[in-house]
Amino acid sequence: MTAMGLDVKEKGYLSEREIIESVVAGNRDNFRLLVELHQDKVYAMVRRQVGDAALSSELTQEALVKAYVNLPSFRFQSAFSTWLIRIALNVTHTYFRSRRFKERQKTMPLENAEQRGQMPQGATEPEITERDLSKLRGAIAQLKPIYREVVVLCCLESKTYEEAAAILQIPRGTVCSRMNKAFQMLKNSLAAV
Amino acid sequence: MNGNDLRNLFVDSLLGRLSSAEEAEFQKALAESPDAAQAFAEYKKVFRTTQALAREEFRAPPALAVKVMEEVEQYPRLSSWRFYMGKASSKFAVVAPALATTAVVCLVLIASMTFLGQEASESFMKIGRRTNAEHDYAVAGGGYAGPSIRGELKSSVQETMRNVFPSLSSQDAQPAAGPQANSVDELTQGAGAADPTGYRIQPSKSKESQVKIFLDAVGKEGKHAGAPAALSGAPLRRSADSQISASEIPAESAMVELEEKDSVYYSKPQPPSQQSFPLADRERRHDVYAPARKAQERLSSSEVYGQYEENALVAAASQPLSTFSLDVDTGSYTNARRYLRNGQLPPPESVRVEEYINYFDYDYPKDAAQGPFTVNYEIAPSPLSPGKHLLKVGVRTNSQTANGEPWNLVFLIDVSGSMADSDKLPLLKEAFKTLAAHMRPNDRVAIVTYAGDAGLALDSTPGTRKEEILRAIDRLRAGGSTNGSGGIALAYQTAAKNRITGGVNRVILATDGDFNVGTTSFSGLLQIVEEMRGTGITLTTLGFGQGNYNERNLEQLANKGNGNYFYIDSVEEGREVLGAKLAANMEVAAKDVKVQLEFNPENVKAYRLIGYDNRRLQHQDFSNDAVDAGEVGAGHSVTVLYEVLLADGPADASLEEERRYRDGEARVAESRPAPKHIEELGFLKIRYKRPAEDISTPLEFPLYTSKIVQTIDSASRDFRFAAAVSCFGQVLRQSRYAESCTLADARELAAGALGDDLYGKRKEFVQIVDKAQAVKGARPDGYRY
Repeated sequence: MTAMGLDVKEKGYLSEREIIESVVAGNRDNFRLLVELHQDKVYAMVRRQVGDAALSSELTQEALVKAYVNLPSFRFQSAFSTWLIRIALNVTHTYFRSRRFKERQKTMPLENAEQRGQMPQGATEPEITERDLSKLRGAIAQLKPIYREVVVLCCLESKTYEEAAAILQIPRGTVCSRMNKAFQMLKNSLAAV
Repeated sequence: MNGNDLRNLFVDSLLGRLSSAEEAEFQKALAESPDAAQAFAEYKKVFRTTQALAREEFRAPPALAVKVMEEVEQYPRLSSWRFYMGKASSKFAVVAPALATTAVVCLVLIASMTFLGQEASESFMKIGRRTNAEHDYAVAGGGYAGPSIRGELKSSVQETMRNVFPSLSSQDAQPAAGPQANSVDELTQGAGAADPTGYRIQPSKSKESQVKIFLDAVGKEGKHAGAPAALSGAPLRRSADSQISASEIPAESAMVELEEKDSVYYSKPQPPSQQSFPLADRERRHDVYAPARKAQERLSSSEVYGQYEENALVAAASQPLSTFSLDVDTGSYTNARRYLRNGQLPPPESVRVEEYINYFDYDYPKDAAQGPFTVNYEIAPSPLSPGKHLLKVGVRTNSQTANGEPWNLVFLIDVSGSMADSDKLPLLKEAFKTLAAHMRPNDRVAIVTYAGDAGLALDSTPGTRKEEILRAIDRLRAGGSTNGSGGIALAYQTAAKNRITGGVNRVILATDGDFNVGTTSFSGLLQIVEEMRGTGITLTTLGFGQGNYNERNLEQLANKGNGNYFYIDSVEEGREVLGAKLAANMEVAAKDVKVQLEFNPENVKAYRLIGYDNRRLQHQDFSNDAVDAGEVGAGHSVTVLYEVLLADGPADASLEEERRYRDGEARVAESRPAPKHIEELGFLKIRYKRPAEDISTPLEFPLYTSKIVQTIDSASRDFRFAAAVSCFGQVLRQSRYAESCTLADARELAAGALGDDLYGKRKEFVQIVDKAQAVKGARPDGYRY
């Protein structure tokens, strides 16, 4: 594969930092390694925010290209994945503010079994039905973006408050309070349905 | 700790963010306040649901990395000067106007200070020590507007606003009023818009309403077929007589649900995690081949296959009955052929051994005296598992040639962007030309395309106008995203409108199975297909392509639609399905064909049905005509293989059952009269319905032990070839019974049983086995990297 430059082959390994440096130094193909390493994480995060498969892959693509263009400004002060997810969050934010989102909300597609992710077999608990899950999906989709992102990061992506705070660039306390608020709203909207 | 503090700790506690001391204190406080405990329980429920949701796994589509890289290639390299120039100039473009504006503003300010400085400072000084008169002047219109005037201004503006927008304040108070105020017309519009709340419809409700609306549009018996209301967007009236609510068919819908649960998304074992690489350096290192391998894996793993338990070896004494539905599909084999040609083994879940066996033609002599089916059987020592025998049962329809029923075919073609690949739409177009050539004057064909919207590319056209059909085929182009359900509605409508009574009315769906922006849930779609089957319009599915191929959908749709499922991997296959085999594929000779084979425990110790894993039926469903089963076309033949352990064969430890009440059984056996039908190996019962009937007819055939052949070499060529194919299939399926046979055995057996091989399929099979051996040999796990 062309994605592996010569130096990679000789050494056998390449750390993430080395990959990033090589991309910044002009080895464009090595960016594929970064994409392949992180695309699932970014895609899952976007998908949980947006819900729709086709749209999520579009936004993920946008985020990854943005990451490439801005790679020289990455200073290794946080983990690359944190930086990448922050970019993806900005992209989804822009999307949620866009007219396109508002148009789309009017013609929101129905719950589609094929749109869901893969549930590992036997993982679902008996008392939680598919109906509960789809209710919760709906409730999360109705949250404001600032609340949705903390729920997605802390609950669905199991990030710690500190990690979420680093990604969102807000104080830890704010993550805490938003989580509380978000949970309250989720609880209310689930009780209302 | 007061109530609010306690509530703030709820989420922290659920997420495990509290230290043990804090947690203890929290629990103590909770115990003291029943209200808070109640609220906490509600939080807990929500949290548990989120945890279930968090287990959902998402994977980026395989095409994503490719797309990203394509876009990245458009940018200059990050090190090149062009990149920085590009960046700098774009930054400058933003900064320059701002700088210019600032400069202009500064200049204006400086100028005004210089010229008016004197005056301005004087008036300012005046305000500082103003008299009452001067104050009045200022209030009346001078430079200083006091707070009273500002207040007046504000209230007058508010009043004007209120006059202009009388509803402003009330709307502010009720922001949610908008979506609820939709007109009733909107309520009655097509399925997509029938959402009175403006939010998502709950799935159960939507399924029902979609089916209703859909049936209204098509007309249940095709009576109202002329009114394409749902698709033109005109308001639909729900007439009571044509309304079929989903609740009227509880059994079927329950079955749909069940089937959905049974089949599992196919997922591959994960490659070893990156953590397992040495972490000698401080930085985490990773295997450079991992991304490539993962991409390869993802390529196959985003294809969806149903997963079914393999039929087991069972003791004939305790379970003498084997009941299943016939299957004449061949898609699984052609799909595997595509994988192997690409240098990969097919995923085990995609292998249905019976479809492998039935892909090949076997020579079954015809016996006209026996009614609609002829049954042939052969039993010989199994070349693959020593000690066991192989029983091959061939069921063929006697109506060799089609009865000349006219066809009313509606092709529903996916022309979404994903179909543009060379192995999809171009392949279909090629095959379609063969179909056009095969059409007779009475036949009709229509083409419905669907992408973002559904459209009629060719209205129903008789076979006499071949030119027109060919032109329409040439015009097909791929582009857009997929809305499967809209297309299905239009296709069924077209089929209903041009219904040929006494002919074949069929919708043929050609797609890569990726219904990505469909507005219908898959089970809703299945229900529609099932309803339409009741009105005599059947459904055949043709699968194309790879990468995001969803076989499970296509196979299930064809099953529900009383049609066939084919996977088309090459021009030759397309020509065969839509050309040479078209009559057999289109004209159903018998529907709902069920087979029940009862083994005689006197002669058979144990048996195992090879394949038909997703075609198993409950024994009691054999004579239940409401239970759906497979269809057999005119001139089709179906082959069934059993692995049989004869009564005088070696003992099999896996069959030993520990039973507490053996004594009683032995006593009963003693008192029993000598067994009847000692000469019989088993008794085959077939139930089928004629195409237009709803009541099944039984057929019975005894199988005799006298037919057992002593050596494999004296068995027929077809027998040996079928054995080879079953071995190949079971190895690929990673069957637990395939330990004793290898691909090399399969190859040897097949190579010695080529026979006439009219279409070269058997020779090709030998090549495919070679390919599989090469792939398997190259890498035990089947990947190229």
